[in-house]
Amino acid sequence: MDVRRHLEPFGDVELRAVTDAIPILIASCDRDLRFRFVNKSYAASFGKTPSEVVGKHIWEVVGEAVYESFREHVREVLGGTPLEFEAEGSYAGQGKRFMHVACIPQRDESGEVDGFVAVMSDITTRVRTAAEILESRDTVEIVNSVGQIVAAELDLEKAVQKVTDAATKLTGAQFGAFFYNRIDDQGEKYMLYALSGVPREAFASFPMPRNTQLFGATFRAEGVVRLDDVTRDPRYGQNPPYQGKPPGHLPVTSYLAVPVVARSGEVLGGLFFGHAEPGRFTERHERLMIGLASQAANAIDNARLFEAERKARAEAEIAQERLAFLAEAGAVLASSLDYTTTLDAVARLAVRFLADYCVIDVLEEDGSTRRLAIHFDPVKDMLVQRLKELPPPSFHMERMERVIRSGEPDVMNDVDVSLATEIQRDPERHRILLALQPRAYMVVVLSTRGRALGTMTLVASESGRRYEQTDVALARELARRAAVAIENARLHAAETRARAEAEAANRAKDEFLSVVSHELRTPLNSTLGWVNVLRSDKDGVRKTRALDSIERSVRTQTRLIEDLLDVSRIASGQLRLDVRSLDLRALVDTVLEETRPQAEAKGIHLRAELDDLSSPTSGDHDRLAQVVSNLLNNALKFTPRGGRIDVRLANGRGDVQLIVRDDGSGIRKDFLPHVFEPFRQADSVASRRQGGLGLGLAITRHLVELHGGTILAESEGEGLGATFTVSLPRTGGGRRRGTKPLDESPERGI
Amino acid sequence: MAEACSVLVVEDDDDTRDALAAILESQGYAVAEAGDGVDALEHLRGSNCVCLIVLDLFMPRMNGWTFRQEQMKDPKLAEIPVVVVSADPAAARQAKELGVAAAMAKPIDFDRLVEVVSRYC
Repeated sequence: MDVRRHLEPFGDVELRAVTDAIPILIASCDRDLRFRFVNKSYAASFGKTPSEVVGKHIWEVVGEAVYESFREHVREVLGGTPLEFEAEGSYAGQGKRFMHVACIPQRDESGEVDGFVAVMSDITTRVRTAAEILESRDTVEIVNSVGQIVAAELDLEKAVQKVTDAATKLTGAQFGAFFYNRIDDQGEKYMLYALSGVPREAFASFPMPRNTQLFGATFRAEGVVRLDDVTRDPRYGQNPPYQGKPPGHLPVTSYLAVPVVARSGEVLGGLFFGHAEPGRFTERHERLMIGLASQAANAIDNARLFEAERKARAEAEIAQERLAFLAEAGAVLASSLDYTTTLDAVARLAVRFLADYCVIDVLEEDGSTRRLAIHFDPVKDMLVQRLKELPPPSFHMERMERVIRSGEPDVMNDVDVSLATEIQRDPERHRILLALQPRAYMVVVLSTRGRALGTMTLVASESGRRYEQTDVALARELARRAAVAIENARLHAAETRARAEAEAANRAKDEFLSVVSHELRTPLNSTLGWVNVLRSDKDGVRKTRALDSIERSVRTQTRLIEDLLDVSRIASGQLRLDVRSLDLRALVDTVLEETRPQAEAKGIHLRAELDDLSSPTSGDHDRLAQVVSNLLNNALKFTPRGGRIDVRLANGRGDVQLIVRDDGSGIRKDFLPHVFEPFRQADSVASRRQGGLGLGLAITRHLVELHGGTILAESEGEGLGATFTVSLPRTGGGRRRGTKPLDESPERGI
Repeated sequence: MAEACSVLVVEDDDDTRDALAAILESQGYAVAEAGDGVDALEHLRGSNCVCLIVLDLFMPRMNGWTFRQEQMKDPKLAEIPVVVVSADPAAARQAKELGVAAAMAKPIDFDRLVEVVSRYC
């Protein structure tokens, strides 16, 4: 294209006037890249006049660097191709400008390209506006999308992460982070919440930011901190030990920190951005971040509200579950009145809901302690059962006692058995506990109606649970219900026992009355019979037999009545002794002689060996005679015709011994311990071989004991005879071993 | 018939048994005595003629109830009438269930006993 041809109506002067008037830069160069023509605007953009430019090389005017940027274009246009392009360049007094450039090749008469014309218009404003429009559209889009995402995101952690990511992108920061306004236990370090632009591991290698003058400012709501070079801030490097960034810190030079403030005014945390190069964050970034921070604050507020709501709902659900558990516990505990079953049910309920294993200690009415233990894992249950057998360590006993005394639960979390020295001293317990790994435990009292029945120890092991207030409350509630159930089961057992005892007592009474009735009527019967005989016995042939029989019957009955009265006196502690000095050998001899006719009548060989006693004896003559008589009658009763009875009176070491040995029916092993109990005979009523009330031996023992002596029954078994040994203290009188009725005896003569 | 047969008194208490025997003898009856159920069965099976059994209930070795069962099992003995005498009034009442001719509590009403015996012997 030939410019001159198009501009033909104009002369050079007019052309110059026109080209100088327009705000477009026009230049014409020859093949050697020397300016042939420039308008005023072009020259002025380099701070020169057209005449100063014409004739000079391009690079002399625009500079080597700028020339380099469009050298390719120049080469192309000199090749004959017209071009249009946009270029950026620095211009005198105007800084960086964007230019639209049109290059038109110029040809000589022969058609050879001998230069080119460049027409440049400044499009800086347009480019910048377009860029700004684009940027603000991006910003709006990002902020919008962040807003939407964050509004929809109820998970606190995710919401904060999204805000941090978007903010990092918007600021063009290399690193972005959100720190929660929460300081660790030492009150120094902030806890990292979200991180963007670098892997989290990059942060792991150096200490968390501390409450320094610079970093902490954001949390103290001191406003936005934006620094082109963080190291130049007066607050930087003021805090030991690092006096600046710790070794390994990300290379932060540009620094932007924006507080995230809740509606309530509380500083929730801060958004922090960094870049290795200085001056990367602008005022615009700052404004953007303030907007974003308020979005973040909203998001955190919402997430917190949601979290609180969810927590409340979860708590309500747990409360519901606990109620259901307690209802079930109530039902289970009410289902049985059996004591053992109830204890077992309590333990099982506890391990189902509250513990990995459970130990229940119940104080029994007799003062002993009953232990029950259950582990939910059958294998570990064996360990728990073994543990149950070991006496509890003293510190645990103390805990249980304290809980029983105060009624307040004892809770311990973070238990470490390996630290308890008392446990270490007990290798078996130590071994078991190391296997069970108790982590937390609580001891709650089992009490009802203000009375402590025992304790329930709940232990958490592998579940790793900790006992919180709600767990303790639930355990107390379970314990309260369990105590009521245990008490009910106990009352029921006591009631059942009392009824059984009453029934047994009733049966015993009936049986006793039946025996007494039979024994009293039998002699009466024969007496009446003989009286009847005597009445019709005109010739008197039966008189002697009748009178003998009547006398025997009356004596028998007298003995029975005496025995009954004696038992009654013994029961009421009214049996008294009339203690005097006596000749025991003579006493035994007299009784022997009285008994001898009966023995002879039954064909029993009665043999006696009575030593002279080395010292005088004292005692109640009649009662000691009763003792000897009872033992002899007992032997006669249980010795068959043709048997033998040996009576021995001997000096013992410090005592006098009376031994009555027979070779009669003997005593069964199982009956031997009961032989001295009243109303006991080895045979049942309907088939008793022997008459009598079964009181003789009971009375005998009591009389011997009243004298301070002892009596012993021995037998090798049924059919093997029996030996009764009475030991009386030599001084008599029972001073050393006197029983209560003896001590109170007003007739005691000593 | 009465001349050849005796009343069997089964009673473990010697004095009572003697008295019963003396009373019945004084009324002209022949009396045999047994100390318990075992002795009684032995006597009965020894081909002795017994027209009536006076039976105590509480006895060693074999009591009155067991004796009665044994007696009923033996067709030769089952027909012999039995009068139960017992010191326990309740036992005497229960004895009626054993299908006996009469039951009386001790102390025995001897006139009544003699009257019952006279019906069978």
